[in-house]
Amino acid sequence: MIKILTKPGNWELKIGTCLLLLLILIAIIGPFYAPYDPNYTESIRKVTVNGVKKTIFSPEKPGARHWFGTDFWGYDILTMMLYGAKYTLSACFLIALLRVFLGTVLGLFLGIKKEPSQKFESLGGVPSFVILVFIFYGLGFNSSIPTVNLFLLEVFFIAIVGLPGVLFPIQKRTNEITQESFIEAAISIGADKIRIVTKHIFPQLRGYCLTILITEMITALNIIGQLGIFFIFLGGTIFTQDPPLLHSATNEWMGIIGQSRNKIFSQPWLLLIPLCAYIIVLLSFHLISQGIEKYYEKKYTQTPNI
Amino acid sequence: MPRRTKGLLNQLIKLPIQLSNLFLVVCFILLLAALPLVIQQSEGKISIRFLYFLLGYDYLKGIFDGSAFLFSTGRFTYSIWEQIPQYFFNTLFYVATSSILGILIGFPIGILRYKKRFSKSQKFLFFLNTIPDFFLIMILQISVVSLTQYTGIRLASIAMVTRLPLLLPIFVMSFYPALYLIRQISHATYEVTSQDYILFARSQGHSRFKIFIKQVIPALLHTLSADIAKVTLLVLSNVFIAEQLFRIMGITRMMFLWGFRQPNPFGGGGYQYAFVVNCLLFILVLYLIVSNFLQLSVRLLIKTRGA
Repeated sequence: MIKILTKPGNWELKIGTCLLLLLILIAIIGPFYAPYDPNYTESIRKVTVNGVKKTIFSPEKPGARHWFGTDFWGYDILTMMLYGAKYTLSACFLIALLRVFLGTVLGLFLGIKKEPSQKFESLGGVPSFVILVFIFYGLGFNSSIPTVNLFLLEVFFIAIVGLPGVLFPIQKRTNEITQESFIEAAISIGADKIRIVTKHIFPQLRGYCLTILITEMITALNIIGQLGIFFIFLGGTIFTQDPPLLHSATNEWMGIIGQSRNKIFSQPWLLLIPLCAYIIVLLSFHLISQGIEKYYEKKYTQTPNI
Repeated sequence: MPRRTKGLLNQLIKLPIQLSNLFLVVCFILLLAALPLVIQQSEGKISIRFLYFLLGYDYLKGIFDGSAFLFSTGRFTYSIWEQIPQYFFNTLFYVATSSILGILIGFPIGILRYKKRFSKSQKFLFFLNTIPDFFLIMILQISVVSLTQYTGIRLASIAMVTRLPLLLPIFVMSFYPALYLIRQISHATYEVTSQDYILFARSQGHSRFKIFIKQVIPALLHTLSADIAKVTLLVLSNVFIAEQLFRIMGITRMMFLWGFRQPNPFGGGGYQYAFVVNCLLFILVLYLIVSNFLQLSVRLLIKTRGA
């Protein structure tokens, strides 16, 4: 990765990496600079404007006191986002890493035997968030499982459900490489399976795996967002009957979007600000993926005849 | 053996395989619907209750006494045959319209853009493809609300009140299949136009337009036929999100609204296994109707073009 970054040109990769590093920095140091405690609420406050006393109720619009405004219960949105950033980013990294690691190991060893069955490949078409809603429904609402444990458990399930999307392409690529003559040569001189996989096939797939890793980060981000639409938030959903409230336990960004999704008419900033943060994360991943693809882009030998 | 009899025999041979696949999908639905009860949490730990997988057996028994077709909305109990068909037809309308529109937009644009595979505009299209459906819906809803607030112009309906919203949901649901097809078809067109027989046709003096009509498009219809299932699945995946955010009274929203209710301390609520299974089966039927209709249409087109 550093080798690719130090090459001249490829501005997509450089901008994307800078943006991502900035986001990681915010996720690490953000909680220390948060303006309020994450449990602090300000549902009512009194102010004096031009000598007239006024009462302000939450949700409060973005202003000098609350830069990103407050939510319906008076929680500061900026504080929520600074505390939630680490969950959003780490979920994307962990899900993608787990998928690519397991997918590569399994794909390599299955690929040298046979190519993936088309029947199983079509399974990848089933929307994974639907399966995940069924898995998390019994786990996520008012869970007794500690937040961090639940977060890791959910990350694990998301990674496993989306594994076929990584496994089958790698298996297919591996199977294509095994047909090459240099693999036959390696077999003929007595190389065992592990040596063939680690020394001959994996180096060919390194760039491909890196591209998949970034693409999977985007996929993970989208899946977490889609789950949020069904009020399934990473780290747990706090559900109260009176008043009826569904709240993200971790203040993870997709959770903030999900819990504010019905406020388009009345308080659009509750949605617009986390959506802006979301698009910045997405853009940084996309730019990195474009940069890596540009680096590894193979020149096509075929050209159109018309 | 006559060609038609041979085709019929081929279909008959494939029938048991298709039926066994359908049986496997139904089994998958029965197991999937049990997951919210199988995977639970208690005393700070995850607990797996495998016995709940047997609910599928209860559901099958319930088919004969009719209990599998009842569901509760809190106070009242209804039969799915009274309530579900209207929701089913709402969803069918969106899925069918969006799939057809997606194909009608994506297929010709994909052909026209085959030389722009590596262009900046194509890269922008790829970026649009990474933006998820819920983001696009929310941004469109906020834009429409802001437009109405500042100018008074009511461009589109952002949620269902009494009538089905049309413009935004159909735009969002046909947007992703269209983008997918643009990518696939432009890739396929690039490959087809690189073949030697196209060069041969060109050397014979045929015009570019004639080669496209006679050679390229018939070849691309096969690619389209292979992508129909994926297109329908894409629309079906979008419909889950679109029905939630546009508050459309469709089958997927009903499933989450009545099937996945949180237990109420004053009684009622809770997860309704049979109702969820019924909804998933209706969604399966919907998928089969739309994908087979589109597949048949494309095959008919292939036959009439003699491809």
